[in-house]
Amino acid sequence: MGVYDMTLLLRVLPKAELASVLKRTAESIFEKGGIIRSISNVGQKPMPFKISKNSKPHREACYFILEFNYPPTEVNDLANHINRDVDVIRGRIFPQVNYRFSECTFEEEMKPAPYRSEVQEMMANRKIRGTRFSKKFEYNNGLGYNPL
Amino acid sequence: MNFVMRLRIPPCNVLSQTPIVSILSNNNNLVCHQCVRWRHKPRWLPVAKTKMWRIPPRKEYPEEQTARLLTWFNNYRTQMKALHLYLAEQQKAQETGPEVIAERLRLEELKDVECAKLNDEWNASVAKLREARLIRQAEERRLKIEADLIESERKRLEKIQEIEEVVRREKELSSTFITRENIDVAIEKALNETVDFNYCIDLKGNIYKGLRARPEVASENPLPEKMEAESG
Repeated sequence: MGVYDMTLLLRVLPKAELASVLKRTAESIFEKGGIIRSISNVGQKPMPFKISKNSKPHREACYFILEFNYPPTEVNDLANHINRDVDVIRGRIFPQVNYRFSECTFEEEMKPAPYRSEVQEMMANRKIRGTRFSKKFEYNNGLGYNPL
Repeated sequence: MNFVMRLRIPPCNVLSQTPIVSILSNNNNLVCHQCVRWRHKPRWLPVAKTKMWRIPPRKEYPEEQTARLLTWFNNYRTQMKALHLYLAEQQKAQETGPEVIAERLRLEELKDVECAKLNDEWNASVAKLREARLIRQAEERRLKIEADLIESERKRLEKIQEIEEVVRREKELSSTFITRENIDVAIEKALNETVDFNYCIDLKGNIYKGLRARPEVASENPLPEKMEAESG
């Protein structure tokens, strides 16, 4: 089961109705054996642009973020299902990405080219392997001299 | 200007093939100097009118001269034919005589033996090189396989460790998972608490949480939370 984030933009509703909408959404996740990891309420905010849903314009929404586990093959259906809810203005699902943090190499990168270890390695390799110009053409005629 | 005028090449009549002679004809090194060595009528000109339909008369030789020349030529032909036949016979005898054939076979056998000897020498030297190469390659392959085995084992263990880490983390988190039983409580809790993911960061790496958190007003503003700079 993959871990997904769902961003939910709900219509501006009283608390009890918001709870029922969230309950409906949660139920649709539980149906296929999903597990909700967390529910965060970002609050009621004006949207950056107007969104029309069911022929009604919406300029404000209640923002929620759900983190949940869900079978990857069913995720598209879930997105489809959620967006058909009349109280949901917009629902999007994103897979969570596990970023691997590497060490910061900014200091090394800001050095002049010949001081960078990467460039030094490249130069050493060039001495060993040569360049594409250092290879001489061979006639392979077994004569040891150029007959032309 | 004057110089250029003096060097001007006079027009050459192509049809009459008049030799081109420069004005400064005493200097042979000039480019426009041209020798006319073989003076021919060009191919594209027709036969001259005076020579057209003219049949040259047949040449007549004295009869005695003709008879003598014929005799000489006949004799020459007969003698040359005899000589050719003689030489051909000699050649055939040299090539197909029994002792000649035997000698040739002997030489061929000798050559074969020599070739075989040389070939064996070459084969031996190449075999030595090949054996050395095969031994070297086998050793290299053995070392590579050993290294690969160690590397794959290391990777496997690493993977297992990673998986175990994930499982441990999930197990820890599983106590906070929301299921059908505690969904109502979780929704109630979420509705009562709003979360703000916004934060800003100053040049020292301090993190100020909150939407409008600014370092200069952070002390006045109780909402933004000043945190220690996270490492990395």
